[in-house]
Amino acid sequence: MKHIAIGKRIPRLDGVEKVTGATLFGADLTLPGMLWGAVLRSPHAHARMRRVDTSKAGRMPGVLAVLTGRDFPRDDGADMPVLARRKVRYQGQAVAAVAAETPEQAAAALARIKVEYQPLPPVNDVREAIRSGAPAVHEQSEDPKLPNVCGVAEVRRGNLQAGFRQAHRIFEDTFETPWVHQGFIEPHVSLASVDPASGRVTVWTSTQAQFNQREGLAHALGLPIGKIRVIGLPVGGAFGGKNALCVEPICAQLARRAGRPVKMVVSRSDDFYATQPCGAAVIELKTGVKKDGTLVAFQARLLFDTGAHPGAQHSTGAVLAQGPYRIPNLHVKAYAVYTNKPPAGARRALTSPHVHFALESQLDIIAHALDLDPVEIRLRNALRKGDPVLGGASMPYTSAGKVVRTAAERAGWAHRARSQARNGKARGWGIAAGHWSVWAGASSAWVQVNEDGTIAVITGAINLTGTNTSFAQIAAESFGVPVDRVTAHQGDTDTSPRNDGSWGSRILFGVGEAVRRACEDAKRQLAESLSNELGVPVGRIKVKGGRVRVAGRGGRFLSLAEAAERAAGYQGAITGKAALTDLPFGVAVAAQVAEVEVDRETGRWQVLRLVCAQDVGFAINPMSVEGQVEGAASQGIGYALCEEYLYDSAGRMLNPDLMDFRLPTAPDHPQFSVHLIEPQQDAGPFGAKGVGEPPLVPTAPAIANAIFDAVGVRIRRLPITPERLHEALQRGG
Amino acid sequence: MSGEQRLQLLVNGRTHEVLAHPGERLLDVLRDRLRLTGVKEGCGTGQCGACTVLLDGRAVASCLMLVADAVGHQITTIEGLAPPGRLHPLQRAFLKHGAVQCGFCTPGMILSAKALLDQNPKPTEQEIRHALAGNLCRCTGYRKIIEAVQAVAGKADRRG
Repeated sequence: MKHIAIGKRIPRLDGVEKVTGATLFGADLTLPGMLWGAVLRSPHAHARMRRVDTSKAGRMPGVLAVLTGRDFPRDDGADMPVLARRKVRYQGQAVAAVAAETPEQAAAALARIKVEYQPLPPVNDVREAIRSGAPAVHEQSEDPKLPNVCGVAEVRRGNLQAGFRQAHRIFEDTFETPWVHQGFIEPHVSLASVDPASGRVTVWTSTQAQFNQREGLAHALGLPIGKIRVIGLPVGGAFGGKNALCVEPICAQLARRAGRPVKMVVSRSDDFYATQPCGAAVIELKTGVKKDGTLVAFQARLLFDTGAHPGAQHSTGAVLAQGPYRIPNLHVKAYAVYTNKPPAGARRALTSPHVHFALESQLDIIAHALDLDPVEIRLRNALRKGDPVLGGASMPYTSAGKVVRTAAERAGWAHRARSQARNGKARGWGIAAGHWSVWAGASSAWVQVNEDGTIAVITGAINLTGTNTSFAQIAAESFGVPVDRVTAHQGDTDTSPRNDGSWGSRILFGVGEAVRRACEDAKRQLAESLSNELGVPVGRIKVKGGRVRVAGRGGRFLSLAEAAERAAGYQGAITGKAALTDLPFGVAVAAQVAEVEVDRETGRWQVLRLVCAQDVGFAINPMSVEGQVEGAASQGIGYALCEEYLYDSAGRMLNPDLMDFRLPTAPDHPQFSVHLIEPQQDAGPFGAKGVGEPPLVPTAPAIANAIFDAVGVRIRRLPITPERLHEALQRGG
Repeated sequence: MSGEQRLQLLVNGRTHEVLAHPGERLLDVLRDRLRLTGVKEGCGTGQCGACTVLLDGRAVASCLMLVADAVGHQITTIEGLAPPGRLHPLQRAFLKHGAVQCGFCTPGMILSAKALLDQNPKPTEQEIRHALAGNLCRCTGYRKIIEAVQAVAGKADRRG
């Protein structure tokens, strides 16, 4: 089928303002009379707060508002307090805040706040946390036998013991993944003002989820939702790190107290200490397998470090732990465990990268032990069309095997050279797969047909990844007009229909489908309006190919502009609407082959080539889809290579900067090749589904497997820093 | 603020007179006094490259430079790369090749690429990767950025 707008590599509609530096991000905004907010943060990972004295700070020059935990209505339970009360549970936790005329005055005022702490022994990792007698981060545990547990999720299928009895061999391995920051380059930022007459609060912020922010702010401030307007700004990277509230409630409360607008820009170090990074995990797998590599039993204990407050996404980990494979007998038990670390939050693909690092590494271990090809063992067990997937989804259109086979074939797996040493360097190949379920959530859109026949798409979805460009393509295709006849707009919580956040690869899938349906609604309204005006049955009017056909005797064509102008005159406005929550899951599988080169002397390694295959449903904008795949894989390279929060024994972070918490740079990156599989049958618009999360999932295990292939050393803990690999090479694995 | 002085800065081909403390960061003067907000701050410690500007054609981190040290030098920000309403070939190539996602690193990235191509009009892929090593991009995986720079390097006239 020939398309006019979809399936095309169209540059981002907001691209010109980005390449010229004209895009205004949060830090670029100012308001008349604006003050600067600043936060006092805890130097301790775990301490009782005996006293907070802000009397001197309040009298400092230029200071207009001072806040402590008492200034928020919420109590300090397991629920995350905006400002700490009675106890601090991680280094960097917000304790007090000020607003002043200048940033310097705000900083000077913070220095005059006195907090008396009684330090407590910190809980530094999950194994320590669940040992009996461990210090309690919170007073209660969800598990009567284990301390510091805040959530348990279990998944069972078949008969585990019977499965293990069928097994030819049983493999038991433990894997670890680190705390990592999402790595967005724009730090958190917020600006708030209050209307003095109504008390209504407006917050401008770099967020993925403006409607969810509105709800969270209402809760934090004790205000009804209707008293809050959130204006989502252009976002300088987020990757899950801007799902949740950060300084917004503090900013809003300071503005309410001071009666002036307040701006807060979070420093890079505070963004490391005190936002919601991705938590660590310890993953214990016990897997039973037949001689031919068929998986028959799978038992997993997943310990997710949720830091000081719930948010580790342990249940997602439980559901995805089996990977894109058929396993008849399984029992997965996942725990979210408190420690004195920052509260864990979302990162691209949530806990899918954690569990797939473990499973995909173990599959490689099994393949080598049974002398099977790593591709073959995956194909043997891959989910097939129609197979159920844990969590209620199923594999609708593409088998996981097809994705694995595509990656292997495109990489030339069958003809790969055996690892060869050159100048003390060895090369190796690794493969891994992974999956993610895309769900639509609350998705809605309005489509306005202007009286000149141009079309405006309005949604409340944050345009993180260029989805507005894809929305314009969808609307253009629906009406049969070129993309330059369409504009796409991100409204705010006052000016657009409600949407869930831009997370989980759901925007193009869910909101894109809402845009398509809203276009159909607008076309129907257009036809009805013309039918009434012209006295022609509505069935004879069709909006197609950029014009309107009126069939029957004296049939004719109207241009879309002419039809729109008539309809506007007749019924005032044509505004199509759609809202949905109910699309079936879009199960998305990705597979990647990595080729690496390892220096045996130093442990340094480099990915030379990364071949990425993915079932994307349908690529509305292939350039944008490739960008998602490569960007996600890039984060996977960082996860494998260098990203890791480092702590001392007192629970203080040792590397809160971008030199010591290193993100991969241009020279760290390989040649990517991206291969999209497009069955065009998923429930999203024109058969599309979400694409942003899955390609992060296989990258780190594909690399770990390639390193094993090169040097015969299995690293079970990310990141595989040169130091860690060097040490393992010295030990001989 | 006490100690402010009248300083002359040559920015984007024009002389600007600003009242600033000589110890202020060039980044803050450009952003707050001259409203050149295409210069971004991502870390404040010279590690991310978002605040990159050109100083006499060399890429520098404006968060690590005192404004007094910039006096007498030609400063170019993203706003001065092309005349109003026009795009520099690098800007066009970044758009065409999909090298822009969130856009926060983009101004600094484009300026680092310009500094490279002005010094080395036909760089190898490795030379491009090394020239951009001080500019972090978390969205793209760099491939499309490298391709955009290569596309411009293949052409003779880069003056926009």
